[in-house]
Order: sequence, then structure tokens, then C-alpha cells
Amino acid sequence: MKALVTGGAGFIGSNLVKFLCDRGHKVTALDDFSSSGRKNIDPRARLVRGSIGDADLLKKLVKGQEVVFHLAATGIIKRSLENPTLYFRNNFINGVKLLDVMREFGVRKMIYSSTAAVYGEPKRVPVKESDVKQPVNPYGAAKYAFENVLSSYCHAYGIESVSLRYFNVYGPGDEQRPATRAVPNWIKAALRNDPLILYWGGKQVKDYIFVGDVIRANLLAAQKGRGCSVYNVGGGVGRKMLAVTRILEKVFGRKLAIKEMGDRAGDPNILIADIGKIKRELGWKPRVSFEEGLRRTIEYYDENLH
Amino acid sequence: MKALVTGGAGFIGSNLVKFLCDRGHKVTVIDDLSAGFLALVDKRCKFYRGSITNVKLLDQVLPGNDVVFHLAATATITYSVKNPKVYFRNNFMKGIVLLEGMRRAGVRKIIYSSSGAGYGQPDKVVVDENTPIQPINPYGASKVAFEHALSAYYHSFGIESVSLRYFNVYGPRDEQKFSTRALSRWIKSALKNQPLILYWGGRQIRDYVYVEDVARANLLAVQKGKGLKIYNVGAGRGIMMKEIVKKLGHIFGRNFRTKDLGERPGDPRAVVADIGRIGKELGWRPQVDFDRGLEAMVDYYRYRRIRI
Repeated sequence: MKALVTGGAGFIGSNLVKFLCDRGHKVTALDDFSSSGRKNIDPRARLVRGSIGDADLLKKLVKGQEVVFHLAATGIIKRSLENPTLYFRNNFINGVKLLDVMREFGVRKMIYSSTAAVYGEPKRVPVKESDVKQPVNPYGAAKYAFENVLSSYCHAYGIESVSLRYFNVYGPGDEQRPATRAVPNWIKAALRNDPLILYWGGKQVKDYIFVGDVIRANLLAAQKGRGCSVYNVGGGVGRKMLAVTRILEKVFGRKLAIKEMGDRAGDPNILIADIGKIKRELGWKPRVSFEEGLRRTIEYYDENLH
Repeated sequence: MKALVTGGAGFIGSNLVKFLCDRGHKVTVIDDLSAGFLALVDKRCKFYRGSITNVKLLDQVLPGNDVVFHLAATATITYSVKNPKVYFRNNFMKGIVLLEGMRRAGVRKIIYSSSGAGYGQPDKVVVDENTPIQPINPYGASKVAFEHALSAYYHSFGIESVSLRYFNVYGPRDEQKFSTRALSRWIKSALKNQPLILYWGGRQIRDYVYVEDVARANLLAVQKGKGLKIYNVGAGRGIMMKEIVKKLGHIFGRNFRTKDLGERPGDPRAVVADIGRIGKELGWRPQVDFDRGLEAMVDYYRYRRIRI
């Protein structure tokens, strides 16, 4: 398979690129290194530095591909409140530009990295794909808006797509700058013997999914996804943040200091995926246990912590 | 009330502006006249020719308004398939510029003219607001996508909004440089003794709602819509297209020649709005029945003096 991975130097993207190369696929990775880029990715892939907003560059890269994995996005939710326009431009209209180039060159399939943020504060958990979606920040709105674009491109131009709504992805290779995600921050803090920063008394419930399982969902979507479909990608298990710190303690084999920072605006209280649909239709389910995933993540930061 | 109407020189916009002026509201209009006509704009309002991406203009006209009615859009569905990017830019990104302007100016409420086109080709004929969003063309996608931006702006910045998902709006002042909507095309053809163009043998079922009822829904949305709301705006009943041809025949007192062009891809067979929610929450229901509305529309085209 010949594939273009946008955001290919990011956390999930770089893992996906390696996974695809391991399986003998021919991969081109595009990344502008604006937020979470790693310095190097799998050497078997062709890495191109540039933006998906650059139509001329896209034309060169899209031509001849069988599938585009679209992961490029401006990802820090908090910042989307400071500069909404930037998020709508990068996460929405630049995606439209990419689709138009795909249309021009007859590339008929996109696997799109969407997000659980499309749901906002869900009315019930576990949340199903068809549940009410009320994004609470520009990031979630832009990501959901692009799913609508994909729906129209499927019907109007026959470009098939699978939108994968990620819940809380964690694992090796997360070099987000600035780092905003709890698990990598906690692991790095623990390795430095700093206290773990906790909000809301650790009472928020999140659904963690290992990056290796996420990229496997991407490949399955490329192989089996038909028409225009949307799937939750999560562990299907809700965990209180405080419980996550306990599991970390278990894996580290020692007690970890915790610093409670109280409330923080904009976080949903509870978010758990119903993963019945992707199990049924793509035959995907998470394989890596939370403890095992954490162990591998710790190993990564232990080797890469600067 | 002080209100800004974007797209106020268009079909629905100009009817809304008149409706608001008739009730003593102070109305400002922005329209770039790319699809609208100055001749349609009520003289009692303040008119600015310009785009909502003109930040300077926005910062000049937005402050002091109680509400923005956002109708400006590129609206022809078939053309959206030829040039999707224009639709996402005009119907989505330009709306973001407007919302940012509202944030700067402290205007806290927007009534957004959305579209039933977001439902695409629904599995059931009667659709309520919880029906899955599955647009089948870029127009429908661009319109419904902006609703998500409104959701974010409500939760993140406290800007209240009501999205009104219009079904088939008809009535006086439906002016386009090249008419794309069936009713205005048919009436114009009838007046010129030309055949009426049908698709699918006229067997599609549509939900037609009169433009003044739509204007009233907009005003009610300002008065009673709180927080973040989405409503269908339709008649709540379906009518078969060939039935409308018959009704036009009664009004004109003669039978028309018709020309059936057969199938047209991307046309849903039957879509009818469930209007239970707007009835319950805003107390709105259509007041103008179809026969009366159709007559008013025919009269408009018969006697219009406006130069387009």
C-alpha cells in the first residue's frame, strides 16, 4: 500500500509511520513540526517538511497514493480558546484543501484522526457514535466540522473515509510541545522525582487507549472501512485520574508524590467510549493492557528524557 | 431591539429585514451583493455594502447590537459540488470572522440560518433535530458544520445562539440571477408560457415553508431562544412536487406543459421536518398555508416593479 501520513512526525503519526513501514507499506510523511514533531521518524519513510495548507506541495505528495492518513492538526485544546481562528484554519479548512487535492488526483480514501472532543460533555457514558455532539471548544468544533465535510465528499465525489474518534491516547513517542497530557507529564515527573500535578482531586474519569492499539485501528480502517464511517477508538474503560496515579505507583513500584491543583475549566468530567461499533465492524479491540502500556511508556521516557 | 442582519439583501434576509422594520426594530444590513439585490432592501434599515470578512466594517457596525441574524451564505447546492472550497470558506470560515467580531464587540447572541440539507438523505421521511448529520453535498456540510462552531462559542465564550434549520423556503422576493429553486423557476416559466421543468416526474416530497413564517421564527428565536439551541423550521408536512404544479395551474387558471428531466443524483426522495421542538419551546408554528403563500408568491412575480 502507498500511503501519505499527514502529521507523520507527531506522537500518533510517528508511531503509525513505523507500524506501516514494519509491514512493508510505502510511506510518505508530511509534517510542519509546528507543535509535536519529533526530530526523526522511521528512516524507511520519506519525510517531507511542510504544511498541508501548501497546495503545490500537496499535489506532489498526494499523487499516486492509495490512502491518506490525515493526522495533522493543531492539538492543544486550551489554546483553541485563545485563537479559535487558527484552529478552524488548520483543523478544518486546510483539511478541505487536502481533500480537493485528493479529488484532483483520484486518491479515494482518507483515514481521519478525529477526537472524542466532538462530544463535548456527553449526556451519558459510555458514549456511542450516534450520541448528541455538542463540542465545547473550538478544537472539538473544528474536528467535528471536518467529519461533516468527509460525509459530503463521500456522497458527492466517492471519496471514502473513516473518522476515528480518539479518546485519551498515551504511549511512547509523545513529544508534544508544550506537553499538556497528564500521563506523559506524570511519568516524566515521576522519573525526575517531582510531584504529579493533579486537578479536580483526580475525580475526572477518562478513557485511556495505548497508541499501538490506535495505529492498528488506522490500518484496519484503511483495509476494511467502506463508504463513510465513524468509530470511537478508546479502551472502553473509564478510569478516575486518581486511580491512574495508583496504577503508575504500582508500575514504578514506589509511592509517588502528588500535588493537587483544584479545578480547571474546560475539562469534561467523565468521558468513556462505547467501542461496540468498531469491534463489530472492523474487528478491532484494544490489546495492550493499561499496565503494560504504561510500562512501555515509562521505558520510552526513561531512555529519552532530556 | 438593535439587530445586524448579514445577507440582508437576499431572499430570506430582505423579508426578515422588512419584518423587523415593520415591528419598529433598528436594523443594520451587511451584504456584499454577490447574490443579493439592493432593490430588495427595506429603506428603513441602514445598509452597508461589504463582506463580513471586512474586519474594519464589522468593528464599525457590530457594537451596540443586541443580536446578529446571520444569513449571508453561498446557497446554490448544485454549484457547491463544482466548487466546494468556496462554500466552506464563505459559509464556515467567514462565519468565524463574524463570531470573532461579535466577541470583540460584546454582542452575545446570534440567530443562524442553517439548513435541513445537513440531514442528507435520511433513513426516515420525517426528521427531527436528533437525526444523524450526514450531509451529501458541500453546501449541506458547510451549513451544518457552522453549528458546531456555535456550540463551541457558546460553551467557551458564552455567545448564545439559535440555529434554524430551514427546509424549502418559498415566497416573494425569491430573486436569484439564475433561479435555481423550483417554485420561482416554475412561476417565471408560467408567466412566459414556457414549459415547467420537473425531475423524477415530480414525485419528490418536500416540506415548503413560507418566508414570512421563517422571519417570525427568527424573531421568536431572539425573544425566547436561550443558551444553545437548534430547531427545524418547516411546515411539518410534505407536498409532492407535481401537486404544486397542479396548484399553480389553479392559480393561473390553465394547465402547463411540463418537461421531465428524469433522475437528478443527490436529490433526496422525501424529506419533511418534524417541527415539534420549535413548537414546544418557541411557540412557533407556520401560519400561512401553502395555497395562500403560493398565491402571494405568484402575485409578487406578476406585479413586481423591482429592477433586478
